[in-house]
Parts: sequence; C-alpha cells; structure tokens
Amino acid sequence: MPRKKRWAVCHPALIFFILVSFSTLVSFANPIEVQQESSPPTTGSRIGLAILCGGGSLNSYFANGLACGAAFSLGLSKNIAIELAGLFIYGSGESDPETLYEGKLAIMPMQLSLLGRFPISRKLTPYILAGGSYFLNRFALDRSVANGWDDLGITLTQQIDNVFGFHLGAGLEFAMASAWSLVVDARYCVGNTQGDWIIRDNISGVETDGTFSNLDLNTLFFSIGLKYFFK
Amino acid sequence: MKHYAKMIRWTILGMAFSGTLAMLAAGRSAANNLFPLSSVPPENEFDLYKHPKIDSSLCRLIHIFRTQGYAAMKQMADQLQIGFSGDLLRLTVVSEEAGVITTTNASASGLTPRIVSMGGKVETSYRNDIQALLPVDAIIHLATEAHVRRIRLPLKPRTCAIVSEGVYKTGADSWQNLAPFHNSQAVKVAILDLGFTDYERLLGTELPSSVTARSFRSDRRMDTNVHGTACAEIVHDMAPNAELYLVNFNTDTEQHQAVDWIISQGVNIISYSIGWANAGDGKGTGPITRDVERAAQAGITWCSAAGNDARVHWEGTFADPNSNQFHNFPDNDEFLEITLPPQQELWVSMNWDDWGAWNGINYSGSANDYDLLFYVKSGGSWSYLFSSDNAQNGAGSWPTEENGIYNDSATTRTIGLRILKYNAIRNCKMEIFAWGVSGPIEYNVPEGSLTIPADSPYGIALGASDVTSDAYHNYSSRGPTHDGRIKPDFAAPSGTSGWTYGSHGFYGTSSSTPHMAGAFALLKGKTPFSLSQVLDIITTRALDLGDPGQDNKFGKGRLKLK
Repeated sequence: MPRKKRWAVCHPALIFFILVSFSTLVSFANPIEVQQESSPPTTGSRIGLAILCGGGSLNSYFANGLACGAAFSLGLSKNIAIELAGLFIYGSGESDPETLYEGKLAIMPMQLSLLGRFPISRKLTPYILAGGSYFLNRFALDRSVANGWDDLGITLTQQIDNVFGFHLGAGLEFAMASAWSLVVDARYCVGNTQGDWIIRDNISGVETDGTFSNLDLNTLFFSIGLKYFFK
Repeated sequence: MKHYAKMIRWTILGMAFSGTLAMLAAGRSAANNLFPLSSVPPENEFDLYKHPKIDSSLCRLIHIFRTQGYAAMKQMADQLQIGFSGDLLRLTVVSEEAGVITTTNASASGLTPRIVSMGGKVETSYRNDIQALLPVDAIIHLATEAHVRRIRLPLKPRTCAIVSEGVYKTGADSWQNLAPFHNSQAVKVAILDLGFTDYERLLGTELPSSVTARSFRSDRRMDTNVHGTACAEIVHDMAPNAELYLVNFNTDTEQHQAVDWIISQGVNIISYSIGWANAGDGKGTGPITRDVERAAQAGITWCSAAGNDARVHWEGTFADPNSNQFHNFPDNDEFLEITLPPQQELWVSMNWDDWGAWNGINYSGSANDYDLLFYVKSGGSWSYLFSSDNAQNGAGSWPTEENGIYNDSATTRTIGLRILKYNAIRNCKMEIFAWGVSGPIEYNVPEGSLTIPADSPYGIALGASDVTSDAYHNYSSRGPTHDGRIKPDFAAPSGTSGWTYGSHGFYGTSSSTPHMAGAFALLKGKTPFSLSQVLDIITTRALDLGDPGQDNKFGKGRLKLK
C-alpha cells in the first residue's frame, strides 16, 4: 500500500489557513483607513477576467502538478463579487490499491464563488471566497505501466466520474493600473468521486470489472495571475 | 542604505568563502602532515593494477583516486558496493610476522599503531587478518611495511538467493514486476508436504521473512524432510508476495486434519507434491482425493503432482491362459522382474478395479481376492520370498496388496513379482507401482501411472517438463485416469535450481507443482481475477507441447504466463 505523502495532507491545509488568516487579519485590522479612502480601481461593479497559473497538490496519491485557470468576476458592491472560474490541474501518481492505478489524473473544477473583498488601500485588496464546484475529471493510465500489462495481453481500463464539490479560498489583488491587477490566489477544492475499472485478458477473453468510490479529489490550487477589469 | 546592505551581504559572502578556503587548507595541511606529497611513490612503482601486496581491485581504486580524484573513486566504490566509513576504505590487512602464521589476533602486532598513524582505524582482527579503515592514498604506504603480506578488500558475503529457472521459463518474471491492479490481495498458499527441514534458515532469503508453520505429525516436528522446503522455495520464487503456510504430516489421518486446518485459515491455494498408491480407485474418489474435493468446496485451488512413476508402473487385465491362477505377462512370462540395486528399498503396491462404490467415507469393497507374491532370482531360478495376501471378502475390504523388500547385500538383486488369482470371479484390471527403483521395470506401462490424488477432478495435476528443453520427463506420470479422463492438466518446469537441492537439482513433478501453485498465487495477487478466471487464463496461455491439443503427458500444455 503506497504511503501517503505527509506534506500532501498537511501542507495545503497549512497554506490555506495562513492565507485566510492573513487576509482576514489585514482586512479587519484597518477598517477605518479603508473607509477613509475612495474605492480602489479593482472593486465596484466591474467585470474582471483573471488568467491564473501556478501549481497545486492533488490528493495524497498524486504528485504536485502544474495548474492554470481563468476566472470571470462581477463586482456586486465594493465588498462583494461573484466569480465564475475554471481551473485545471494535472498530476501523475502512484497506484492507490483501492481506487486508481498508476497514471495521470486531471481535474478541472468549474467554480461559482462568492467573494468577500476587503480593500486596505487603493492598491491592495485581500479577498476570501467560497462556493460550489463541478469537477470535470479525467484519468489516464501511465503509459509505461499500461505497456507492461499490454505485453502480457492484459488491458486495463479505469475511468472516474465528474462530481460536485465545494471550495474555499483567499487571495490578494494588487492594482497595477486602472484596469490591471496582479492576483495571488489560493483555493482549496473539496470533492470526492467514484469510478469503475475493467481488466481483460485479451488472450482468453476473461474479463472482470468493478467500481470504486471515495476517490479523494481534494486539491490545493495555488496561483498567480493577471486580472483585467473591463470598463 | 541599500548600498550598505549590499556591502554587508558581500562581506558575509566573502567571509564564508574565505572560511571555507581556510578549512580546506587546514584539512589539506593535516593530510600533508601524514603523507607529504613528495613521499608518494611514483605511479610506475605499483604498475597500475599489479602489486605484490595489494590486490588488483584496490590498485584500481588507488589508480582512479590518483588520476581522477576522490569523487570518481568513491563513485566507483559505491557502484561496486565497496565498503567505506566516511572517507576511509574498509579493507583487510593480512599480516605476516617473520613468516609465522599467528594464532593470536594480529591487532596485537605492530601494525595497529602504524594504521592509526596513517589516519586509519582498526575495526577488528582475527589471527593474521586485520580489518581496518584506511585513507585510500595510505594503502600504498602500508604495503611497504615489512609485516604486511597482503592488503585486500574484505571478502564479500552473498546471500544464497537462488531463483528457480522456472520463473523465467514460464514468464512469471514479467508479472512480478507489475504493481497489483485494483484491490488485488495477498494470496495464501499452503505447501502441504512431509517436512520442512531448514526452512528457518531460508526465511528472508529463499522464503518470505515470515511464514506460518504447522506440523500435524504426532511428534509435531517440522524438520522431517527437506522436500517441502524445496517446494516452498519455488512458490516463493514464483509469487514473492504470497503468504506461505508450511504444513506437514506423515499419515493419511494427519493429512485430513491438516486440510481441515488449512481450510480454516482461509488459504487460497495448496501446493501438494505428494503422491499415494493404493489410496483410491484412480477415478477421483477415495479418502485422499476427498481432501482435494473438500478444499475445492472451500474455494481452494489444489495443485497436485502427477507422480514420478511412469517408469515403475504396470497395468493390465489379469490373464491366465495356462490356468495355473497366476497372471501371464507378455510371452506367457509369469514374473515381472525388477532390478534392485544394493542398499535400496523396493516397495510394491498392487490394486485392481474392484473398489466398489464410494460413499464419501469408504468403498463398499472388493470380493475378488488377488495376492502379490515376491521372489528373488538366484542361479537362474526364482526363489519365493513372501507374499502380500490381504483378504478381499467384500466387507469394505480394499482391492490392494503391498509389501517391500530391502536389498542389504552388496550386489544387485533381481526381484520377481507374481500375481495370484486367489479367489476371484472375474479377471480384474491390475495395476502395480514399484517404488524405490528408477526403472523402467519389466513390462512397464507408462500410461495411467498417475498417483493419488492427481486423478481428482477437483484438483490440477502437474506433469514434469524439462526446464531447459521442454521435453516431457520420461518418469513423469501420465494419464488417463482409470475412468478415462485426460490427466495431468498441465506440465510445468522440472530440473530447477534452489537452495535445498542445489543447481538444477530439483527434478520431478514435485518441482512442477509449486511452479503452478506459485503461478496461481502470482496472477491472483496481481489482478482482481478469481481463481477460476486465473485457471482460464493459464489454460489459454499454456504452451501446447506433445500431441496437438490436450494429451496425457502435457495436459493442456506447459505452464506459460506470458
């Protein structure tokens, strides 16, 4: 049984906790100052498009992977916005005897979030977010491993279902110009899915299949990007 | 302000750099104190890898150290698993004091302080050998000492890991490298045998680190035979992750108890390299075969050796053309001759096809009474020795006779067997096994030479094919069963190597059987297939040898997993 990578369990939670704590702290530590300043250019009823890229940690059996994403946000007020985001993270992993074999797991959470924005100056706006996700998932067996089975006349097939989940996150927007901001974003996506598998001996035609459940899709998505605000 | 910060950073970096240089210089200086560069003998003095006192392997290290530096030398040493402790090389200094082999530890000699003065350390010593740690560039200096006879690397112990050639012959190695797919679970394999002598010594090398061992012998001893150990070795070679149960017995009653226990342990596969004669009708019934059936009902795959008796088997219908009550073999010969070498035992079992009905516990019995008579040939004529003359009266009495003889003389003796129709109403089909001789016996009939329980329809019987040539071994028992079914089911490698019997020392269907049991364990452990599906997979992949299609030697073919 593969050993769980400890950091993969504790590290996302730790980073998430630090970011949320930090943004909450700076937001509420300076409420008077915020009120005294005019609204920063990145807040208000504006539509923004952010392009994000970074990294992430997939579930405990899968290694870190590159991540990217895009997010549309619509400011409803100075402090509230909604956001529609699509993220993508891709990681390779070792075999989890109860769910997936060795291979590459790609997940694409489509997220609808409510953002709480807490500008602390004209340039700096921390925010926190929460919402629901729909995970679009894809799994591909490691090619070299599959080849090893192919050589023996065995074909392995595994697939996983798309699934609803939720997410929490926090970030910082740094206004660089009236329409552009630099965004640092971290969000923790929570999901759990199921799937099925087939193993077939092509020589004898013997085949067996089954399902698995409880595949943990919890992912820390950590990114940096640029956000453009439409006029 | 920024300017000052930059200055401070550069100052710190400079201090660190100069400190490092100083430390390196100090280290070099210390080394120079021990071995002034001017004192190092020129390269040609030790003629690269030939030195009268330094082993070639060490010379090579020294040469690489001198020409390519410490890192290159250390890399090579690591690759070759040459022992280092820190920067010091572990080696053995063989001392010689005025040509006298000492009986006391050599560390007491004057070499110890010399080794220490060279920056080395004496780890231990025994008689003339000193095991020491030494800087590589000090070896050549130590060799100049008068008391040093030889400097060598410590001898390398090797575990006696011997993998059966059957692993590669069958393609099991290709499966072994794969990670188990989806919830494949550890498989329990019981090796049911007569003894497991020395199995403890092989734990962690030829066998798993831990096994479950259980004796059903009355004396509870496990060390009664090495045979089971050899079989267990093969199962482990084939399926390294299988959980092994080593179970021994000595009698049929003990075997029944052992099988009960094996079933209770949730074992998946039984490897059974044992055969019986006179223990059933050869049609898949009888008390021994019943154990196979019980195991199958518990979901256990039972692999049985077909037997090694093709050359010591005779069968035929009783014929008495001269009406003297004795069976006539071909050419009206009434004696079946067996050559018995000196100091060897012959055990003869005879049975005939009059077992009656099997009710799950016993046969209804035979009312046709035959006897087996033993003779010895002396001076061209036969002398009667003794007979086996059980009463067959129908009341559950088995149609069997058996007895043995030991040749305690210094010469080979010729034993004659006669079959007497003592009181029978029909001419039965007779069968004889002559155990203890290599054969072939006279009038040998290899067909139908399966031992019990290889005839069981609930088990998988294995014949022996040569691990190198794939030839069917001529001693390997063959079918059909007495009710006409094709057996064995498969052939598997024989003549394989192991710790117990040495290089290519394990011949027979006893060797073939654990290969098959291991194959089941391997595939079951790597895939979520059921054991019956694994059987289908093995069947489809078997290499068809001998007569095309299924036959009574190779069965469905030789075990082949790839």
